[in-house]
Amino acid sequence: MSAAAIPRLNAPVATNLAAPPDRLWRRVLASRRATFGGGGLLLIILLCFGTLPWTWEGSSSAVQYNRQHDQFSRLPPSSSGRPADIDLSAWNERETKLAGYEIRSRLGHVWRWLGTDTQARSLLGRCLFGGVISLSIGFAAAAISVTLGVAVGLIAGYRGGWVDATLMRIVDVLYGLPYILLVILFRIAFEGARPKWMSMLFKDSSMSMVVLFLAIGLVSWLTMARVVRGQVLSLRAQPFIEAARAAGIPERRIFLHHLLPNLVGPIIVYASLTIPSAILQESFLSFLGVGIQSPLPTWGSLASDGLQPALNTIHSDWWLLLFPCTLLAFVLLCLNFLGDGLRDVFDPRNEAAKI
Amino acid sequence: MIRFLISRLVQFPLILAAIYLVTFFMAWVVPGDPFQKTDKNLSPQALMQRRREFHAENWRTFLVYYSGRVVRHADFGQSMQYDEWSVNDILKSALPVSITLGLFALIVALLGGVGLGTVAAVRRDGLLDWLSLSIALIGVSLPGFVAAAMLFIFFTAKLHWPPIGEWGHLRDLVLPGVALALLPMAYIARLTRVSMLDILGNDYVRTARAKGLSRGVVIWKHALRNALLPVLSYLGPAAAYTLTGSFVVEKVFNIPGLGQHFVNSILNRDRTMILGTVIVYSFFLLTFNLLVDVSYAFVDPRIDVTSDRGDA
Repeated sequence: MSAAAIPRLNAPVATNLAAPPDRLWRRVLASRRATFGGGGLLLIILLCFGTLPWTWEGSSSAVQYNRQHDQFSRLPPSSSGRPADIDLSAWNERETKLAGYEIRSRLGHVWRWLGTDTQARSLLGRCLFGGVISLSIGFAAAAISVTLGVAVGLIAGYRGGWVDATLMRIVDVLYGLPYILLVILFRIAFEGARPKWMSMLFKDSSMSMVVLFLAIGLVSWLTMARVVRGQVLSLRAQPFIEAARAAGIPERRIFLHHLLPNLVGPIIVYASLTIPSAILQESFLSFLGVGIQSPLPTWGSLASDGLQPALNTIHSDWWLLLFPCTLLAFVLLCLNFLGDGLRDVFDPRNEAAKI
Repeated sequence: MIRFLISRLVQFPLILAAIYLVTFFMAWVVPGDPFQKTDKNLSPQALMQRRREFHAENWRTFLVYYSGRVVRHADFGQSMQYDEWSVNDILKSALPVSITLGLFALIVALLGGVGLGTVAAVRRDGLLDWLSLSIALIGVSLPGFVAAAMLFIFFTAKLHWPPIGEWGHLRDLVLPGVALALLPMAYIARLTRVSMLDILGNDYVRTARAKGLSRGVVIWKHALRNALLPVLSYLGPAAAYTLTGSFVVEKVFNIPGLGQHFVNSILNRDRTMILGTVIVYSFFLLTFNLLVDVSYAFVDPRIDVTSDRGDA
């Protein structure tokens, strides 16, 4: 009997995913939480990645992330007025210089919409470029955690027995180690003994970025593995998997066509929750001073660099903390809303009664 | 139940030993020498002498000597970074501080999180749902150091409350406790909301309402008790996280807790200190996870703890 002759056995069970895709889309769009989160995230992604031609290293624009606009350090955002404690003659001189500078600059005064930092670099450019790196770290961590976590969880849950026991004990041990130790050690170890092919592929500054991607990604797959394993365990007990096996469907096919589709829901949800936690982990590493290497910005490193000047009570450079933090918090809020919204959509029992 | 307990108690030291070994080798492979990082610039002979004091000529001698010492006397030895301190001394002075603060934070997180989560679930998609969830989400949407620094600035620097001084008053616990509680509180709120939504759809909830019980009683007594199960399983890691201290909170509020030793030991490659702090943390984590698993049996007698729950 060929596999094609068997009636379709992957009936909807644990999730609503088996519903036609267009209906699923409609449900995602109907969830206010998910649309708000997804829309906001998309907006920021477009903004950060869309402005890359101006902010990346090779650009000659005024908002290039590492361009120093000599003498114009610590400018407050835009032309919002002069700080009260600068004396007028000096201020006017500075304003005149700025006006001349801006006429020469092709972008007008866009570069100082968000002010400049202590090294006279445009905060707008740094925030945009930092967003590219922060988001990439998040997505890289999610990608690694999906591949590794799903593979381990699938195998452990489906095989059971000693394979399951061994894999889960490994996860237990890694779980017991504090992740921050793992990240820092990974980072330091990679820095010390970087493989030759890596230094051939990447420049020194971007090396620190790749190492950070790997380090954060490699510690964030544990939850995913546990979730997937739990899901597989409960799926395996369902009649449709047993029926598929009894019908002689090859294991690979059961994996790909019967198990995996039912796992997509939880995987998407947990992946969308991995991204914010990875971005936060990076900000913590920046705070410790083992984050990304210095001229490269991330939202986390911008915030931790801005902490001191912004909290200075005598002359507060508040914009250095406010803008990176707002962006960071907004994106994390969006991602969390998206994750929660998706969980509601994928949860079959989501029609909770009103009492 | 007894068999389950025994098997878990046997596994306990084994997992702890595995964590010890993994940490040991990770601390050893990391480049950088704890003895060369001091500014004293030791001569090769003196360096060798220092190494011999620690039995750290190579990893084999150190593993054998040090592990024996840890197992027999529960003694983590001298700190490699601070000459005059032993790891046990540091743990003894820092751990009580972290535990006091952590307990306070844990209570705040639990009460706040469960309250916010329940309100959000009952008013699903209403204004209160959005509001309470946003409050909870701010806890996870700001880097810890920013949230802690904001609290510090607004209260201590602007309002002069609590006054800056020696650590030791009860009021000193409030701000760092809240800062420490933000993250677990947000998580607990979301867990409660999701499982509460689940529970509220059950028949017995409708029955309780139908027989005339008030909304409040049904929600806070009947439903909440069952909705707390997922929260319970999160309490294990949450307790380990809060009780062993947080680097950020301790740094911002200048608290002599364990969290800073944790991070500093790693940055300084202080191998004995790394092992000491990691083992303490893992011990807390494993103990609380075990307690949580056992408590399942009491909270919900239907749960068979001995079967593999595949905890999702």
